This record gives sequence, structure tokens and C-alpha cells, in this order.
Amino acid sequence: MLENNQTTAMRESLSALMDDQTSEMELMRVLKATEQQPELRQRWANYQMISASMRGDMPAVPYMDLSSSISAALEDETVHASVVAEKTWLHRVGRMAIAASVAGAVIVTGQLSGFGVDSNEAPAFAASGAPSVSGAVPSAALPAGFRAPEFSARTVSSHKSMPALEGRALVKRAPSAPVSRRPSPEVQAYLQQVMQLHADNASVNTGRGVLSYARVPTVKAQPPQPSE
Amino acid sequence: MVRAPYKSFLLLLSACDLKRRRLLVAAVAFLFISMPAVAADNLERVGVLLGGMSQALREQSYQGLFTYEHGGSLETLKLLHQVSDGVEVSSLERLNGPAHRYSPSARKTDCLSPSDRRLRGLLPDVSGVLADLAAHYHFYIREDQRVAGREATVLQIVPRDEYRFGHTFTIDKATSLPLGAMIFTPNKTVLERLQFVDLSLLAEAEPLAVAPSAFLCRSESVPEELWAVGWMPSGFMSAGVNRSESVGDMMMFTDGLSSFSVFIRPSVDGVAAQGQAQRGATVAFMQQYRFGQAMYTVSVVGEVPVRTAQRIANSVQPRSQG
Repeated sequence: MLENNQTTAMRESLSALMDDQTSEMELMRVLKATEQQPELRQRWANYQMISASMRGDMPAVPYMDLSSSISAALEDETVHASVVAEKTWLHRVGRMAIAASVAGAVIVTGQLSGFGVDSNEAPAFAASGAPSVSGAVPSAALPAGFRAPEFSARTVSSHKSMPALEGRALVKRAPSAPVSRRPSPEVQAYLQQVMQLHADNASVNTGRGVLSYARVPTVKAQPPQPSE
Repeated sequence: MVRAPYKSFLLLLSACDLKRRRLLVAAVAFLFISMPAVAADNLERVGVLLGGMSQALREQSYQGLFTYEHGGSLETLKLLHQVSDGVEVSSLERLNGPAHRYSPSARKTDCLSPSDRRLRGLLPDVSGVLADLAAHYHFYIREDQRVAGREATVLQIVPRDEYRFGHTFTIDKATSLPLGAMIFTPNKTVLERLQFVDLSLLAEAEPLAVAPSAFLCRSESVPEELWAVGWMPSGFMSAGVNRSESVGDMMMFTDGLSSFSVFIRPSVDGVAAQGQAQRGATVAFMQQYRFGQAMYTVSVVGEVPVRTAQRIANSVQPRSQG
């Protein structure tokens, strides 16, 4: 049963790979599995052939599995020392990456960063849309390939004053200068207005109904000005 | 690679000859293997889930408490939704921080938005259950969960491209209402999460006191469109336009699950800022552009990645006269 599940999971990963939908870890897993399971390797080859036929570029010659003869040929090659060094280095990086992703947390700023409409937290550049935080894919929150139930996910703040996060380069500032600057009250008011109007759109157009209004920031009557 | 699986399947069918029959069988097998959670019957089930949710949210009377979690903050809100005589009225009250209550205009429950129509499979020009959504998202039905003391089905919706966000809905089995909703980026970082802690159905309300001025259904008369959005992710369609003194021209778009709005107005001194903002999954991108002799402020607000918002803003052009 367990083995069966693993096989199914691996096949899913393989088709995800065909769809360009794999994470790096998943890719590594698939590559490793194909080394050991001829059945999976054959399947991969079949997928490639099917996709080639769908694109209409089927090879004229019949399919041959060259991988074993190639690896046999490689076995005979004299091994260069530098290659070995590189491999161990890569291995170490790979292991580090896995460790990092296990330890990683979701780094999300919930406030209106940049413009700083929500004034109760220090502005920090938002994570979303900035692919720079892709290294922080949370394994606890969202396992690679979404194989587990999701609602155990936690979102974690990237508050500036959290020393644990300061050493990490996970939260990056936007390259353009205006982003970190607090905008004028007029800009804030305008933003508040457009976000409110957008919530009207979202409430009828995202299948969430009135829940969408939860996103509209509330602007405090007298925003605290700690720095003045 | 299988961007529009059903389309390629049909193409293959039409080009089918004897030599290719074996390939076709392989291709069909491949389609099912490659989308383990999106087999046809499953897609039908997804359609029932999404359509049922869209309908339940609007047509049932319920109240509840839910949390909204984004970044490091957690807020609690109280929701009341009442339906009487085909008219829905709702209110949302913040229980944390500054007191605030949202009371959207009353609407007729049979007044369907483009998103409602898409989620319920009512768009006339689309063939197949959810075919248009399935072209842009992968659907996965996950293990059942218990939320707010209720049994729920977990539907995960993963974008096929990097231009939109993914969603997870935890849908109550008894009422089809969403007990939880989560948005994550294409690289699977969670941006925000809504989750009920308590939800109860209400008996049909007394006839509601609805102000006659309430809009009930957005009028179909469309103001003249002065702007054209040159680029947006495929699958998004117009959900109306609006014009007001204070914010300028507003254009709304949705792909059924996410929406964005484009605001354009002549630049005003003091508001001629540029930059981006984010709260939960909502991104706001603002930029100044010169069209002809005048400067304009273009803002894109929506549940889309900031790069998408930026690209949309950059593609706005005045519609040529005549």
C-alpha cells in the first residue's frame, strides 16, 4: 500500500515535471527515482514521446533507451578529480537547500508595505510577487507539490525587529527608492479609496462574497508617529 | 506542456487515423496520468464544488466569526448574510482594532457577476465543465478536513502560470459555504488565510428593509470606455467599468477566482506618487504616465502578483478616438 502510494506520488511528480510544475526538490527526487526504477524511466520516455507526437515532431527512428549504454560508457571514462570535487560540493549545497527549506518559514508582510497605509508596523517590502523569497517555500506550511492537507499552514511576519530574521536575506527591499518611503496622506487616502472600491469588485468577482472586505485596510483616525 | 488538455485531445481526435490510433490511446492514458486530480469526473466534481460555493454564499442566510490572517497579523471579523425574497444583504464587522463595519449594497441573488457565471458554468461561449478555468489552473481535491466543527472538502487550485495566485478553499459539506480560503503565490508562499471559527445557518429572514436606492443589480449601461488595457493574463475578462470624481475611471476584471481593478485619473499634485503596496494577497501598483500632453496616475489593485499588476499598468493606453 505504502509502496503503491509512493509510486503514484512519483508518477504525479513525473507528470508535473512534464508540465514544468516541479520544485527543485521534487525534480531531484524524480531524477533519483528514475535511476533506480526502470519502470519510471520507461514511463518518462513514453511521456516524452507522447508530448513529441502531440507537438507533431516524432522522431523518424524508433525509440531506443540509450541511457544504460551511455552510463556504461561513462563508467569506463577516467574520472577527473575536479568532477568529483564538484559533485561533493553540489551534494553539500543540495543538502543545505533541503535543510533550509525544512527550516524555512513563510515570510509574508501583511501590511501595506511600500506605501505604508497600515501604520502599525514598520514597513518592509512585501514578499509576494517578488520571486526573491522563493527560497522560503515553507515545507511545514506547503510541502513540495502540495501533497498534504494545507490548513496547518502558518504565516509568519517579517517584522523588522525580529532579530532571527535580520541575518537572512529573505526579505529584500525593492530596488526603486519610492517604495520604502512613506507616502503623503493624500496618496494614502487615495490608496485606501481604490482598495475599498476594488474590494467591491472582489466581493462579487472572486467567489468569496463579502469575505473580500476583510482585506480593506482600516486607516486609523490618528496614526501613531513614533519617530516624531 | 498540457496547457489545454482537452483542446489538444480534440485536435488529436480530429487528426486521428489508423496509424495514430495506438498513440491516441497512449495520449488518453497520459492525460489521465498527468492530471491525477483533474480527471473528467473529478473536474465535474470541482465544478459542483465551486458552483455550489458560489451559490451558497449568495443564496443562504448565515452568520459567523472568521479570522483573517496575513503576514504576522490576525484579525477577527463577524459576518452576517441574510436573504429574503431573492434579495441579499450582508455586513462585515471588524472585531479587532478600530471599529469598522462594511455594508455592501443589497443585491438580487439572481444578479450574477461574471465570476458567478464562470464558477457556476454558465458562460455561454465555453464548452465543457470548467474548461476555461482548467486552462489556467490545476485542481486538486485534498483530504477532508474539519473546520469550525464542520466536515469540509478541501479544494486546491494551483495556477498553471506565474501571472496569478493559487487558492485553497475548504468547503463545508453540509452547506457548501467556504469555511476557509487561502491564497498563495505561484511559488507556493502563503499570502493570506481566511478561516471560520464559527458558522451557523439562519432561518430565512423577515422581509428586509432595503433602501430603494440600493443597486440590487449593477446596471448594464456602460459608460464610454476611454482606456484600453493592452495586456492582461489570459482568462481574465471584463467585469464592468465605473467612473467617479474622486478616483477617476475604474475598469474591473476577473478570471473567476481572482480579480483586479485598474484606476486611471489625471495626476494631481501631492498624489503623483509611484510605488507598490500589499496587504495580504491584495497588491496595489501605482505609476505615473504621460498620455499626450497630460500626466495620468494609473493604479492597478488586485489579487495578482505585483509583476502582473505592473505589466497591466504599463499596458494601459488611451483608446483612440473614433
